[in-house]
This record gives sequence, structure tokens and C-alpha cells, in this order.
Amino acid sequence: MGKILNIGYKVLAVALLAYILIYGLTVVVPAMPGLEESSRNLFYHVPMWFVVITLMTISVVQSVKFLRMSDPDRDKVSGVPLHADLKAREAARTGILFAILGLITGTIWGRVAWKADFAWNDPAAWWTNDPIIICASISLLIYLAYFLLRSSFTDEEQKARISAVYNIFAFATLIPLYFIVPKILPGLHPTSADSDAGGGSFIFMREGIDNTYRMILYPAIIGFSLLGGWIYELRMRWAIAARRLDEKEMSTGVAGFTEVNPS
Amino acid sequence: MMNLFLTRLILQAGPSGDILLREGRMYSVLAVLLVIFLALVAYLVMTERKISAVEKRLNDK
Repeated sequence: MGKILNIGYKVLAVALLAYILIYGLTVVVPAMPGLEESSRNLFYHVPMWFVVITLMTISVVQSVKFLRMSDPDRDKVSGVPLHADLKAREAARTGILFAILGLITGTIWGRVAWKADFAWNDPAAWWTNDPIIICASISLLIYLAYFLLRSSFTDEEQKARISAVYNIFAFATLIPLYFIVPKILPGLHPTSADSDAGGGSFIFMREGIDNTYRMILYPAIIGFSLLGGWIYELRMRWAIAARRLDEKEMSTGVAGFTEVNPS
Repeated sequence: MMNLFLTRLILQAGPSGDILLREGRMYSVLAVLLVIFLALVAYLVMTERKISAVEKRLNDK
């Protein structure tokens, strides 16, 4: 059953992504004022942030799991504590990848939608002081600091414990940065306080977007989330295998995987 | 990367982007993107197989 599910979600991811690629580019979409054909970017930009939130949630859950596993005052939780730390690290890493993709796709879209009059080589054309963009950039910096923090420790236990606590803080900041601040401030995004959606999530509102968009956007959110999950799974399995290899090699006195492959 | 390429392509199309659809150029673009997409999927599948082999070896030891 587990194996069927494991293969099934990957097949579903490929099928959904092929669908949004083919149908998303060839379907005739109803015009969105001021966006025209660039409105198709909705299918590729918006799902990135859903993937980020999903992966950061997985990351914080694993960090909490690590803290619970390594707490001597608690009943024993099954599993290897350091593996939970590796899972948290890899989920955050994959989340950062999608956050960068989301920021870049958004920046290019903003260049066309809001800064069409600017020359392409004008730096001002590639940045807009919009609350969502600023909040997303802050959240990215907070998660980059997570890796900076990790790199400053050599002791594995200490690194895992302190970064797990930091990860909880980092996740807690996502809630105001993604769901509160951009929705109470005026801005250019359609989810801003002064937009038609009045701070709501327009993609889920009855009057928000045409059903043609929904038919591609919703599968795109699922498809990209599954793709993010797949990449995370591979990274996590590889990290755990490398750790196990290190442990085995150390016990036999031969140079471990990370000593041979420091990157 | 594919996502970025897609975004650039759509945005370059701008307000008259439906020209791409009308003239059938979108289909050549789509074909190229599908090749890139399939290459990405093949890479993920191959990586998965390699990791499975390493895991199997570790479990057998």
C-alpha cells in the first residue's frame, strides 16, 4: 500500500504538471484588466507560495519532532532524532528553492504588470515596494539565517537543537508575514487591503477569478506541491543515507561520506 | 528553471500574446518545454533509483 502511494503521488504530479503545461499555455483565457496574456503566470507564480508554506510546515513539524525525541524528560518517541533534524533541514532547503522561484516569477510579472514604462535595464523596473514582496523577502532572509546558524556549529547535537528552536521562531514569523501584514496594508497585489478582494484570497472567492483559471490554477497548486514533496523526499532520503554511510565508515575508521564529499 | 522560462515567455508575449497561439508558434514552444519537463522527470526518476540502490546497499551491510 505504501509503495503504491509512493509511486502514485509522483505519477499524479507528472500528470498534473503536464496538464498545466499543455492546457495552461494553449487554452484561451478570459482577459484580466491590465494583465492580458501575462495572466497565465498565475498558474506558475501562485502555486510556488503554496509549496513554500507546505514545505516550511513539514520543516517545523520535523524540528518539533526532533526536540521531542531528544527530550530526556519525555516518553521515548520512536525514530532517530538526528534524522528528524535532517528532514527539517531538507524541507527548509526545498522550501527556499521554491520561495526564490516564487520571488523571481513575481518580479518578472511585476515588471510587466506594474513597471511596463520602465526600461528593462533600469533597476527600479525589477523591484516594487509592495507589502507582499517585502514580507516574502524578509521571510526568505529569515530562512537563509537558519542555514547560517546551522553552519556556525560543529557539534551535531547542538546544531540540531538550536536550529530546531530557531526553526520554530522562523515558522512563527511566516504567519504574520504571509497572512496578516500584506492583508491589512494597501498594495498592488490583488490580496491587499485596498483591492477588490479587501484582503481576502481572491483565488478562492466566487467573484475572484474566472472558472477557466480555476481549472488550471487548482491542479497547478496540487501538482507543484507534489513536485515539491518529491524533491524533498529525494533530498531527505539522500541526506539520511549519507549520514548512515558516515556513521558506518566512522565505526570502521574509514573517511566518511561528508569528509570525502564536503559539499 | 522551466518555471522561470515559462514566466519569461508568457510575459514577453505581453498584451498581444495570443499572436503566439494564432500563428501556432506556441506549439513549438510547448514542444520544447515538454522536452525540458520530461528531462526533469527523467532526472528525478534516475536520482530516485540511485538513492534506492544506496539505501539497499546500506540495509544489506
